[in-house]
Amino acid sequence: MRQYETTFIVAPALPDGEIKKAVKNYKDLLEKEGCEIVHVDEIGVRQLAYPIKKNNTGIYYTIEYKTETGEVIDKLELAFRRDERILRFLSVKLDKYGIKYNEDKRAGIIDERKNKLAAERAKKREEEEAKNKARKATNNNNRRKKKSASKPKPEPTVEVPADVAKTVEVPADVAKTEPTVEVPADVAKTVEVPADVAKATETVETVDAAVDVAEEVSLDGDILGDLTDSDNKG
Amino acid sequence: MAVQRRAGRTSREDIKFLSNPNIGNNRKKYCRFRKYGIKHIDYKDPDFLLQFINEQGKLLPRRITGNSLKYQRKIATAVKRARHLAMLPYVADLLK
Repeated sequence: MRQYETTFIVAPALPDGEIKKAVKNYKDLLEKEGCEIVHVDEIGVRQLAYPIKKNNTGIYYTIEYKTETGEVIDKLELAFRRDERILRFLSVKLDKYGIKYNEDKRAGIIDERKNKLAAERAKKREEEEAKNKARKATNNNNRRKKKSASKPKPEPTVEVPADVAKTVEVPADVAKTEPTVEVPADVAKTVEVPADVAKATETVETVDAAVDVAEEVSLDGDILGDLTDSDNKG
Repeated sequence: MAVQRRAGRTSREDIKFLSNPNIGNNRKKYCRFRKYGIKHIDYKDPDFLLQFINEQGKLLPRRITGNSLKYQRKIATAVKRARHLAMLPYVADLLK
């Protein structure tokens, strides 16, 4: 015994009595041919995915039956083809899993399982959303922390040059002596004397002219601008 | 100079947060039929089959759905049957 399943769509424009009559007609045909009808499922009116014979809706029926030979199917399908009320039909042989599935479906197990899966999926989605939210929040916090941490930073960087400035300020005394030393060689000597100045402006040693010294120092940075100013004044 | 360098550093941090943090860890795909022990695919259940087609109504490839070959074939036949019965469209736009 093989089990088959035939799904067909009946045109919805017919009166209710005629639709039921048509279905009963096919059921009788199957029984007459010696088939064992397992189940007749009325799925009901469904929206068609595309119009068939200018119909936008259809009434779906599924008949499950057992038969020794497949000869009945040819007869049944011929009858379907001749019937104008039938929009579509499809006959399928069921394997053991298909039979089990249909039995489960009738018992409501499939729907239960589906609902359970849907519930699980919804739960997972919620959890993931919660996780994402938490992650976003922590990211924002981290960013805020970093911002707050990075804000005080600029102050030390400004402060550091201040220290340098202090060391650079020392040569102010030297600058006072500079006017007398327009001769390059002497300048080099006088400049070399203060150790602090030498460290701050190493280039000074190599430069010949006093003017050049000022230029070189100004190139080193804005911080040393004070020095060059003092030089110019001197 | 110092101020400019600091600005550069912050912009790099901003870029790090602009990119998707989940981009590196891609989850391993699996065949849901093998995992959950689903043996039969019903062609009369278009809502289920909708997971395996794109918004044009075309079948999604295995590399995206992660189905094993056996069940991908079953999905394909089920989708084709559903199309014949006007439960799924042959051609569509903005299906999802």
